[in-house]
Amino acid sequence: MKMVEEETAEVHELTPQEKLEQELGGRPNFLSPTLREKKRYLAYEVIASQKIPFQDLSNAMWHAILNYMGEMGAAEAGAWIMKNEWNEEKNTGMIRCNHTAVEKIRAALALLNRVGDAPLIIRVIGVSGTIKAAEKKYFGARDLLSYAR
Amino acid sequence: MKFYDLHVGAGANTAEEFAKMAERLGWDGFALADRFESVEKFKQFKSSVIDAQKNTKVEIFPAVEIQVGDPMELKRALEKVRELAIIVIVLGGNYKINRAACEDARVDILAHPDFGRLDSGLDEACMQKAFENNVAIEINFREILNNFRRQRSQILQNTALNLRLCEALKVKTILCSGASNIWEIRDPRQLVALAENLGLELSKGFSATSEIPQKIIEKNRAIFSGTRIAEGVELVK
Repeated sequence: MKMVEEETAEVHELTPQEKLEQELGGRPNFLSPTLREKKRYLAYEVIASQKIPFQDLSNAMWHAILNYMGEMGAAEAGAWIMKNEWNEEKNTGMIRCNHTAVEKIRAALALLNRVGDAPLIIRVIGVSGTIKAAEKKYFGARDLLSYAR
Repeated sequence: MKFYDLHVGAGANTAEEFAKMAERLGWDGFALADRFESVEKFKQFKSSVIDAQKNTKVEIFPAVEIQVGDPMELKRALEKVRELAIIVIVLGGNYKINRAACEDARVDILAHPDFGRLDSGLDEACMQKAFENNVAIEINFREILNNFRRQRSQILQNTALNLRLCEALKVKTILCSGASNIWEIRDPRQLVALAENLGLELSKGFSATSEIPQKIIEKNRAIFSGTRIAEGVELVK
């Protein structure tokens, strides 16, 4: 019996995030839809003269958002730069924010013109209510249903 | 809906490079403006823009920027250049120049009236004249982009006030990038978003980047072709 338990423990290794959640006593329950903040996902494209590492870009974007909107404005906007949606080949990515702050985030991104010495333009391709729809509409992602059509 | 940026400054990049970037960012046309020095120099610039137009999909309009120190100089420059350039832009900042530009119907656009000032550079009298003479007030994105902290906040404050005045007195407003190189051009939607943050309605923001610039171009083209004789009088063949 002991051997079996050890084996299963090895297979299901906790991720750092899961470990942290466990330490903090787990996640709170999901809010009901009426109490949740309405999110929007801004798909953006980076036009730059050279390759820019995501970390530098993310820092510059945070800097631009905080400069333009202030700490309180950024908090109200609920801005979040999504690392897992960054595509290094296509230079595209996504930012999550509240539905009331879309125009402010657009303007903040327009006011970013340089990362280090590299000039760049961040162009917002479009806005969507879900990650899946944004990927489909703006990044050309396909699922099984789109093949069926 | 077609989008036109009526103030892009020539110099740092070629017209083809500007056109390529403008097309990528969703513009249908832009006015490439050269600082007015002499008629000969402007004629050369105009022919180079016409040559560049052959290789690009985006429309390029030759425009002239007039930067002068006193109103009489402005009038002399306008006499020389009005019949050559499709778009005439007067660079504001000095109150006397702002007012003279608003009072002259030959001016198409008054750019950054608050340049280098602590106030907005325009008052009710200027706005009334701008309305009578069909002069559009430009919201220059470059001024906001290239300034930081206190100066940027001052510019945003002045721009918001000018937008409010324009709306109250029904003066045309246009949103321009004012770019001096390709990295200062922005997507029209982002300019509209910035104007919306400053108090301009979204629909008016769209017309400030599409309908109003288009009307200015059409009006001047009709004057150049000789079909438009005066305000409300046109030749019909």
